[in-house]
Amino acid sequence: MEELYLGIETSCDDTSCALFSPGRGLVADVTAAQLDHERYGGVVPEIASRAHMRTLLPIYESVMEEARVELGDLRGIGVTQGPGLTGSLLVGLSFAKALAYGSGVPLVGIHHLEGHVLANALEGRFETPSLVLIVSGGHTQLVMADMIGRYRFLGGTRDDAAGEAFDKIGKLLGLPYPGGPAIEREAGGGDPGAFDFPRALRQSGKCDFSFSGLKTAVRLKVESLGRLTPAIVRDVAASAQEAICDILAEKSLMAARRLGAKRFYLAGGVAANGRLREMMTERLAPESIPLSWPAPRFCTDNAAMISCAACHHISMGHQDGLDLNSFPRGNLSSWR
Amino acid sequence: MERLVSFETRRESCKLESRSPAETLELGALIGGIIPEGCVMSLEGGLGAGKTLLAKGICLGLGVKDEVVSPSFILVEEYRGVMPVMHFDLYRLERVEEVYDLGLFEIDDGHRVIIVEWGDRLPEGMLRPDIRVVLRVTGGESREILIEAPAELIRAVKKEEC
Repeated sequence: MEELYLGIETSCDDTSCALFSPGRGLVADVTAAQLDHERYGGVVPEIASRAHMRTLLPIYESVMEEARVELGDLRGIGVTQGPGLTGSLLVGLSFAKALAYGSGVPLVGIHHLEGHVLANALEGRFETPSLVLIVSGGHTQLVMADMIGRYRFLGGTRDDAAGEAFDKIGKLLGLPYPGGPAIEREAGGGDPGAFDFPRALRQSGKCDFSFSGLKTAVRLKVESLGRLTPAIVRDVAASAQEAICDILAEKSLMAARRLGAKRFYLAGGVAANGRLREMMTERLAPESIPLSWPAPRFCTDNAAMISCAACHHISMGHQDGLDLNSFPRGNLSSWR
Repeated sequence: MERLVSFETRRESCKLESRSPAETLELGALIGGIIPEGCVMSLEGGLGAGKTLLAKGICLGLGVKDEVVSPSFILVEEYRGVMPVMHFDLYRLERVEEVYDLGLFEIDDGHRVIIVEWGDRLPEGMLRPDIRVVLRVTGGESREILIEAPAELIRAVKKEEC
């Protein structure tokens, strides 16, 4: 019988289930992006718990049918425990616990950010020790992965996340949601040197980030330019993207040198940004540090990464009881 | 100035000028240092006006040790200070019903301090904040800050200004 691990992810907007096999990799994966975000310009029309409750069971059933597997045949169930919205997390947790209780299949709680890190293990080996830059709508942090399951928080954002900066700058420019891909698209035809936007905390000597000032600088620039022509939008998008990627790459390089990193990974939604990958590759190459990132569809929130993390943890003998609870916040190093 | 036990009912308002992010942070710390438990605050103003910065200051005054970051994506963050703090951000919200899903009003148990960014996205009278702060960008670093609050809070803020 093939070893299969179920992953369940309900920490924020998306409801998602997936099955992972250590031999074959990802076997099945179903996500219900709950909504048509674009129509609302960055707004989520129906948030969280109630929508998860409606969609989770059908999604679970379809993933199990796709793989032609019965609950009792699973080797383990992994569920996102936090950080995230308490109400949303509880829907996934209660569902996972009920499955585990009814079947006797081992249950393990997964840290959402470890899920993002281990998205890098979905299609290849995740090598440790390594440095990971986690960049998404809700998080921006540098993490040292000593081994799978053991992480050290090196530093993070002091205000807005990098993905949030992309979204809000996209909104200031009247671009559709999500802002990241829209800005990248516009930036392709613009001049990244057109405007000199700030790279905050460049001299701090720490692995900390700040994107709030950049957002304000873009806002002031946009207001001073008057009418936004397509050419101006492209130039502002290119310059803002350059500022975000530049500081992310610079701090990553600083951390890599300081810790003598041999391997570097990107994780989270912003890891799908082409300019970030390009800039990171350029800066890490002279140091002979290989860089990789997950396939774009595994960069954003998904259960594939949770099922992969569950496989690793259960193989290491980790298991949680039915008293498993959610946590709204907390970084990777203080976990487990 | 000591922390207030409760607010009197008389309300006042005042308009301040912040010349830098540091001053906005300081104002937040002053407010956070005196508000009583259960205080509900609405922080308003456009993108980049300084709402999260002010919330950072308020949390500082409340003795929160963790890094206070923008909850725009995650919608709500919880912090522990001298009392529990819930930091909401309604930026991504479109329909009023979603506020019920967020549990904003179930959380208001009279003990936790509740900070709501973009509180003006709710219909009038729904949030009923004790303190309403409206930030307006007047220059690169300068902001006009309008505060509507119980009279003793306004007095404390004005005293510090002089």
